[in-house]
Formats: sequence, structure tokens, C-alpha cells
Amino acid sequence: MSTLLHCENLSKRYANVLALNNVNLDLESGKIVGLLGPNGSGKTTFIKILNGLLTPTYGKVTIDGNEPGVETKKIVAYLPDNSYLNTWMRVEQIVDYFKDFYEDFRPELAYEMLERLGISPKMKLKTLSKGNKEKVCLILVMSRNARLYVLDEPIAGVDPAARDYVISTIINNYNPDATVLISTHLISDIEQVLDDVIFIKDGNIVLHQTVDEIRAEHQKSVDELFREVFKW
Amino acid sequence: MVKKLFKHEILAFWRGWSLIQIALLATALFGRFIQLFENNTAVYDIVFGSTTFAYSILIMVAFVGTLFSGVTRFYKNLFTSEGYLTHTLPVTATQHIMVKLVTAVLFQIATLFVVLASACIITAGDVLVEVVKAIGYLIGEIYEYTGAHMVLYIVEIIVVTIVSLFSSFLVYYTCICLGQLSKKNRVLVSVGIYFGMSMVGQVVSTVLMTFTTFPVFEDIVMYFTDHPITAIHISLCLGIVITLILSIVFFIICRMVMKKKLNLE
Amino acid sequence: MDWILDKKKPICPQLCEQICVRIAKGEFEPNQKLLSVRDVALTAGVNPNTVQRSFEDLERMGIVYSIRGSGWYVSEDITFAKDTLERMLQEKTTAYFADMNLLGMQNDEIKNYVKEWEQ
Repeated sequence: MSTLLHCENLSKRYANVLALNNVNLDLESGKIVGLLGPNGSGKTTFIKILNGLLTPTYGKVTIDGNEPGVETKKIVAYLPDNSYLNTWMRVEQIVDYFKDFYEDFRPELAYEMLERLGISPKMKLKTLSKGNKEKVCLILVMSRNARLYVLDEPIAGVDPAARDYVISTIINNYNPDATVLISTHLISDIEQVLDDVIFIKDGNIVLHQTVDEIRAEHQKSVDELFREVFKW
Repeated sequence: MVKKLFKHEILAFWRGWSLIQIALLATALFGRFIQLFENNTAVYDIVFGSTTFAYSILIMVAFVGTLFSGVTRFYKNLFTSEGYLTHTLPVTATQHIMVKLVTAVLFQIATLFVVLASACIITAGDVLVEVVKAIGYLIGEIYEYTGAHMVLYIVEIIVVTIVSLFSSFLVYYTCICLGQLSKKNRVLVSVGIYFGMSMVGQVVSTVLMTFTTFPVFEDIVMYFTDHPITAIHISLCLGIVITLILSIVFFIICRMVMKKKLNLE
Repeated sequence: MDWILDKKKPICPQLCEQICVRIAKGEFEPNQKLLSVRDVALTAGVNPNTVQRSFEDLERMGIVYSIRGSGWYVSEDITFAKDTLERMLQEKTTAYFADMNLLGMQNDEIKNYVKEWEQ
């Protein structure tokens, strides 16, 4: 287990809003970590910075020793919470796209998962249902053999059966060299699959513990503790 | 990685582009075909007239369409939800801009060739022969007057055209990128910036024009009038340099916005 | 193959308990191969690390052993597993009686009640 993600005094200011305030964090490889917080807590800002979609105002973050850039993008697989698939492509074309740009992409795995869902490679992305589009996005991301997976709300807006599918896929793909960071507010569905949780509130990290520690210490589920910590 | 970017950029561009080009060529073919039935009836006049009208419209559509495609592709692929995928590819901002720019320019050049080909098609036969003869005559006349310089002119004209193609796209790219700096209504802001830039451009050129009437420039104007051949060279080269500098400035602005100021919705 | 897990308590010990129960019940024989970490993780919907820790804890208690490259196996001596099952049966019964007491039943009444319920 080595440190995969390292944040030092990471801060992000937009005009007069401090979205991230001096975040210090270390994530080890081989862990499934939940990034939990309400909307506007800084989760999205943090994730965008990890993916090089936003530059920090202060401080730094390194992934496997590199700051976000071409080198980190090779080893980070990102599932955004909105669909980026509004293109004219067919399923096989987007698989080809991923294969071209990501060395760690495994097309056989992707096709296998697609087949199990009954999604044919020839289908146009535009014609897929919302649920299927999200599953395709998830499949593309999980077919990568990345070091860091960043899943932003992978189960929101998806029916309960599909949620089970998402969770099974995450478990199935578990790799002791990789870290999975799941950002969500649907905690009770996902807490069993987490190793550690991070509570983020108004840009500050207010908690970073293992899930079993929380349960032992507070005699509550993570979901219940969350409701307490983030009570309005 | 750049090769892959090109591959997918060309694939994406080709879809819309090819349709227009095919329509253009089809209209040219039809226009030529129609001429076989040439007679003095009103029917023929209407049919041929409307065909040539459609044809000329399609030529405009071809050029403007390619420009439009290039600009909207840049915006859509980098700054809408697609941007979440594009910007997480292991590719630098410079590579992204370069590949889109070069592809757009190449397709515009290809449009030019298709338009020329369609022109040959629609005038195929006697008309084309006459046109070629006339062009040949014109070239001969110019050569007599300018000599070896003509070759240089041709090179300069080609270079200035290509550089202008680059800057034509870069202007819009820059407006799009600058629009991204605002929090809301980014497209509107981009359009506003475009008009702003155009106005500034107009003002600057008018000012420069008035400068040339100053006594200081009288000697230069005299020199130009006396040495037209060199004058043309200087104008063309000046055009190349200015367009090149503007293009580089635009490119740097786009790259800066993409690297440091990116904030997708 | 249902795993009943209470999210309010640490999962790891719960997994240990339930694996013990299954061994004690005879679902797995001594020296038989257990489910893989991955299978348990998938069927329980639980983090593989947690399952791994559970197996390791069970190994420390002598209930299972691992063969490198092969997986986890039930130990020859399953006394501890049986003890765990016994303990859980006791806990459940104590809890049941406590619940019934709250409803106003005395212990003897409860035993009769159960006899009647069975018929």
C-alpha cells in the first residue's frame, strides 16, 4: 500500500467564494474511499482539480507523484456525473476512442460487460435510454486498468437494480494497486463497499476515517452519522 | 497521441462536410447534364437558371459551412459536456488546439479543391476550354509584365491564403475561449467579444489608413508608385507577417484559457 | 447465500461471525475450500478489503487457513466455529426472552407459548 494521492494545503477560490479551504489529504492505493458531503461542499471542485479540469488557487495535489497533467490523465479514470456521450457515435466507436487514447483500456472487458447488459456495439449512443447511457459510461471507465478511479455520483439517477450492478462492477474490478474515489450523497447504498470515508463540509475536510472505525466509535451507520454531521 | 487526435477529429469533421460537398458536386453534375438539352425555351431557362443559382448558393454554403463546422466543433468538443471527456484525455491544450485548427484548415482547403472541381464539371466542354484559354492568356500577360516575380507572387499568395485560413478559425476560437472566462451566458459573451474585436479591427485599420496620408509617408507612397513590383511583394509579405503575428497571439490566448482558466459547467 | 449485515456495527466482525456459523452448521466441511474473497464481497455487496480482513481474523483464530495461490480453507478443528454458533444462539435466545419479558410474559409462560406455537 503506497500513497497514491497527496494533497497539500489545497485551496480554490472563486471570486468571493472559498470552495476548498486548505485540504490536506493522503489516499493509499487499494482502497475504496467515499467522498461524502452535501451539494456545494466542494466535492465537485476537488474532483475537477484532481482531473486537471480546474487549477487550484493555492497548494498542490499530486497523483502518483505528478501534478494533474498528461501523465496523471493516463492513470486516472473519471466518471463525471453528467453524461458526456451526447455524440453521434455508435457504441463500438466510443470503445475504439477509449482504446486509442488510453493504453490501459481493455476493450474485451468492455464488450463483455456490454453484452451482458444487452447493449449491441452497433447501437447509436443517442438512442440509448438514460440508464443505459450511464451504464455505458461506467463500463468504459471500469474497463480501464487505471490507478485512480474517480466516480462522481455513480448511482444517483439510476434505478436500484442498476445500483447493484454499479456496486458489483466496482467490487469485481477491485485492484490492490488502484484507488477508487466515490463522490456521492446516496450513502446508505454504498457504505458497505467503502474502506474509508471523507466528510467534506464548506470546503473543509471534517472527517477521514475507516468505515468500521466510525461504526465502532459511534455505533451508527455512516449514513446516520452523515445525517448528524450535516444536519441543517 | 496526436495521430489519434487527428484520426478522430477528421472522422468527426468528415460527417457533415462530405454531405455538403456531395450536394455541391451533384448539383454541378446536374447543371452540366441539363446543358445537353439546351434550347431557347422558357422551361430550359428556368431549370438551368435555378440550377446555377442553387449551385452558387452551394458554393457559399460549402465555404461558410466548413468554417461554421470548424468553429462549432471546437466549441462543442471542448466546452460543452463533451469537454469532460476531451479534457481528461492524456493530451496537452496545445495539441488539442493545433489538431482542431489544422484539421479545419485542411478541410477548408479541400473545400476549395472540391469547388474548383465542381466548377470544371459544370463548365465541362467548350466553356471550360474557353475559360482555361482565357486564364492562360491572363497569366501570359502578367508574366510579360513581371517576369520571374510572378512565381514569387504565387508563392506569397499561397502562403498568405493559408495563414489567413489559420487566423480565420483562430479568431473564432479566441472569442469562444475568452467567452469561457465569464460565469454566465458564455456563448453570448463570445459573440459580443467577436463584434468587439471586429470593431476594434475596423478602427485600427481606419486609423492606419489615415496615417498613410501624412506627409511622412509621401516618400513611401512615391516609392510604391514607382516600383509596383516590389510594392506588391511588400504588401503580400506584410500581410503574411501581420496575420502570422495575430494568429500566434490568438493561439497563445486560447492555450492560456484552456490551461489555466478552464471551468466546465 | 444471504448475508445479513447491520450497517450500524463494524462489518468485519459480522462477516467473521457469519462465516463461523456456516462452518458450524456444516455448510463447509473441514479442509473444504471456502468461497473466494471476491465471491463473498460480491454476494455481500461489501468491500473486498473488509472480506480479506475477516478471513485473516478467522485465520488468527484458527478457524481457517490459506494456501498461497489457492484460497481459503476450513480448518480441521472447527471447535471455535461451533463455540461461536453456540454463543450466537445464546445471545439470540437471551434477547428473545428479554423482548418477550418486555411484553409482559414470564419465562415459563414463554416456554409454553413456544410449545403451542409449534403445533
